[in-house]
Amino acid sequence: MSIAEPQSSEVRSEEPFVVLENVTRTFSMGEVEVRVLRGVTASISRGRMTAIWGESGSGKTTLLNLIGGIDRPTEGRVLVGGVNLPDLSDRELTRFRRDRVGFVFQFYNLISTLTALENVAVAAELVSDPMDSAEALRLVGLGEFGDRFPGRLSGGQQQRVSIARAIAKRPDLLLCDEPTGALDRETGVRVLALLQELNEKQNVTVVLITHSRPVAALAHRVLFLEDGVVRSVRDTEHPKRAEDLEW
Amino acid sequence: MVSVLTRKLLRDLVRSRGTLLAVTVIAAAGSSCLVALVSSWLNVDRAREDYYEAARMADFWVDVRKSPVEDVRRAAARIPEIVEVRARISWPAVLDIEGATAPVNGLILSLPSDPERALNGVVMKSGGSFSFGARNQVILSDKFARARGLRTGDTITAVAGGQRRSLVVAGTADSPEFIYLVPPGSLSEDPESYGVLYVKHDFAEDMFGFEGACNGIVGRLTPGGVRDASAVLGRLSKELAPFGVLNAIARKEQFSAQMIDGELQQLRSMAVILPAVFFGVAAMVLNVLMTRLAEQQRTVIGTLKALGLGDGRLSIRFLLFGAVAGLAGGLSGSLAGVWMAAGMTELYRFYFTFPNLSARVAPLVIAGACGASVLFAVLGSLRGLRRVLALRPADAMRPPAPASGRASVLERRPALWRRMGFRWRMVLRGFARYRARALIAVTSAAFGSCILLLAFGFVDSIDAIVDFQYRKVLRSDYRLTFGDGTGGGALGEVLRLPGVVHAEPVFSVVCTFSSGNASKRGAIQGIREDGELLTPRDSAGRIVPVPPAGLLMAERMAAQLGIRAGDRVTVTPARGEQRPLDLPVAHTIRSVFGMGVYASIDWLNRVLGERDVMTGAEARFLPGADDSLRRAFLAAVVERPLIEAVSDMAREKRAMRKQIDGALMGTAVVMILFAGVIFFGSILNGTLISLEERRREIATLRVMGCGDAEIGSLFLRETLLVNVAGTILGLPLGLAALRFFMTLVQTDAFAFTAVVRPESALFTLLAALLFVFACHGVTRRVIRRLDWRDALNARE
Repeated sequence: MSIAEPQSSEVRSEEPFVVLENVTRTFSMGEVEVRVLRGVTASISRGRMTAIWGESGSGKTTLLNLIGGIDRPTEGRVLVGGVNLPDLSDRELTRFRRDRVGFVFQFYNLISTLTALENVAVAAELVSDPMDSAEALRLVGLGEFGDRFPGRLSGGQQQRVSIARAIAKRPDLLLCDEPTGALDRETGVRVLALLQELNEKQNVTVVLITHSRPVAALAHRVLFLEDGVVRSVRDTEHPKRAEDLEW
Repeated sequence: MVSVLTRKLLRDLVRSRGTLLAVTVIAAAGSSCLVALVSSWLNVDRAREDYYEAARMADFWVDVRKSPVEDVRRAAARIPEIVEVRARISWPAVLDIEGATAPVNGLILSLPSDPERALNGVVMKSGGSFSFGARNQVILSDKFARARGLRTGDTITAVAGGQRRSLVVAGTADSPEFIYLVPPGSLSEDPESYGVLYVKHDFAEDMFGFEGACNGIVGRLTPGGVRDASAVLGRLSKELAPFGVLNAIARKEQFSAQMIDGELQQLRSMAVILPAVFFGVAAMVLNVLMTRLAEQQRTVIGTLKALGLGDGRLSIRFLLFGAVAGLAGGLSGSLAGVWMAAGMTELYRFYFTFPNLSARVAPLVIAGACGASVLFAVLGSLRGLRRVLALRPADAMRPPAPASGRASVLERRPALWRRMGFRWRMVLRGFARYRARALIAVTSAAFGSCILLLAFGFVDSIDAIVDFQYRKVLRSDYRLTFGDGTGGGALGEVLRLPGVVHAEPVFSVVCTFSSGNASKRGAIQGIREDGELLTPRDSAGRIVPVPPAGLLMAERMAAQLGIRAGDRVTVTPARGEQRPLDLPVAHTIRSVFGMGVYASIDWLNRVLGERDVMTGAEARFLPGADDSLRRAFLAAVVERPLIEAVSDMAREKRAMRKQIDGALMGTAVVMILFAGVIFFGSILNGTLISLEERRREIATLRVMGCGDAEIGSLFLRETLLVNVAGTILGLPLGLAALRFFMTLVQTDAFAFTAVVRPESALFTLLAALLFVFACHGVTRRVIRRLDWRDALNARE
């Protein structure tokens, strides 16, 4: 299978940063084998925002996990910056995640016994040249909330701390799994605007998972995933602004 | 048909098998202790009672100077509580064994011609009883005969009372009087060097010139007399006073009986304390598990309640969960207990000579252990149950409020707090959040540490006693005992024995000490003021010089008499005119074996109106002497009728050490294993629960790029902190427990002081660290195998 042809005319030719080649992923559930990804081939460009869009069960999170090096494909190649992740050992994958990837989860996954600032510092302490944790918090607009525990922050604030934690490592890739899934519209827009800003101003490569078509419209490239295969790829040089979103 | 709820219960049990196993193992340790200790106690107690009854063990012993048997009988007959007496002759003996490099001593005891029916009779083990007509027959204590390879028909030579006699072994036997037989002045048995030689009474009369006389009686009392034995013996002593009473003791003061009583008392106390510790820890650990279970299953519980399941049925299901762990612990522990009881009985069979000591385990004991284990498990589940019952269905079906971080007290010290990494902060805030859980973990570690320190402390204390007695106080190589008293010229004779390089005289006088209403029988050892071979010490281990006038009295005796250094005490010696003397107590001293009272030998002679009398000598042998010199020394000793007994101090020390290395080390190892069970059970339970609760946290850290080791270090910090804190807190607890056990075994015969070397506290800490790191190995394995990807996107 070749890389799906872009359907839009607004195409900018760039060197791909993430390349997925005929990726399959099968899970064994007792005696039943579930094929979640069935030969995904796609690419993600450096410095761009890419959305992986699809219904629940389409294989979005599985695909994100493969790109982030927290899972291995059953078959196929997952190249990030030219390195085929399935070839790496567990230890090397851990190193890869530590040095190159920032994750943002739907349910924030903050450590409840650490303050907002400490949650960011946890990630910052893992790498050699991190962003200042307080600076990362300021970037997400929470400079004043550093000493608050997650339990005393709203959902949107927690998600922003989670983004600050992800960017504090200065990752090459920011992987966001339904970052607005647990938020109300208004808060969701703020979080998405923040991601967009990070992509544009900090030049962070952002991969966003969403089941929402309007949210997907924020990305330069949208990979539409259905039943474990990429049904379409849409590129645009002028994605929608988060502030203009309606969903 | 199994109900759905029962099926759920079974599935929950299977799902929680790891943490339940931890609780089960701790409860099993408790049950095994309970079964083993209670069964051993019942078995030894039963064997003792049966033996005493069957062999007609006496209720009292009185040692007198040579006295006419008829007069002694008449005196005893005047005491209505005395129902039976037997006059006998006892005499220390040295056995002449060719080629022996260590002395062999014995106690000659006279028996009537029908020794198996006599009071304090014997139970024949091999050979036959005395035969009619034959005079110089001897029945040997069985253990001694076996240790020395002596058989029926063999001949031995005994030197006693200035006589040298050949005795033909008629058989071997045991006696209830010597269930635990040790050489005089020692605490450890040494069957190769000390035994009892039973001879016919008329032969003893002839040998010691005691026609129609005796130097001791044993007797039985009415039940009322047994209850009031000391008063009865007081009256009997008065009746016998004209003959010179050396000693009068009731059964509970008799050495062998006292040792068995002490052992039974220890077993009883251990049977309460050890299982209580294990069951207590199991209940605490289960408390954490059940509280967590109530929290984890709140939605299920809420749904069941909403569906109409009543509190009663819910409570039963919930408690059954805990009770299953208790029952599993009870049953598996009981099985181990049966095995341990067999081992302990074997040990008792080795040290105590009971004719019928069987390793029985009563079903009732097993039922009791299982019952106690279940009871504690139910108690441990109550806090969780309270949460279940307090849960309202509507609340329960909503997810719980998100856990909030809580500032640790250390945060009030920002300078310190800022220096800590995020891992330490997480650990400390975790404690602040789950205070009860942290407290339980610390308490469990404290109990574990307490048991560890007890194990090390027992060894230290015994080591200290051996060191105190055989290195500090008794510094001679041989102790020679003469008869009733001899002139100072005997010392020259001792100095002329081959190999003896230095000797000091000892004048031992049996006395009754009294002050006010308190009275105590004992002996004064007259020793040289500048002596080197017997150096009394105070409780700090410092030498207390023997004063030119006045007594040095064991602290325990002074306490029992209610006197202190500087006071005066009335001393009635059991020799000469037996005139009471008013003597000063110059200092008190520490005495571990017996209740020593010392005085200057010259002063003692003076106050007793004697001159240069000595009853024994302490001798120093040529350092590095070979066996041939020792053989020559012993051969010369048996040639001296003056010497009634000779003790090899180094051998006594070795015998004691051997016994310590055997029984005590075994006990210490078992206790260390038990402590390990507590540490492992508590740590693994806490860690597994924590791992389950923090799956998301672990998953997040893994995704961020933390490896197994970094995540494991979080748990290691947590475990280290609570267990080191608990271990340190457990040290004073262990010392207190050690002191308690030492007071339990304290009698007039010996006093143990609780001693813990600083190294032992360190070993306790190291052992605790070893358990922590061993558990960490398991934790790392669980972390490695944890499916953390699933936890990533789960709602909290």
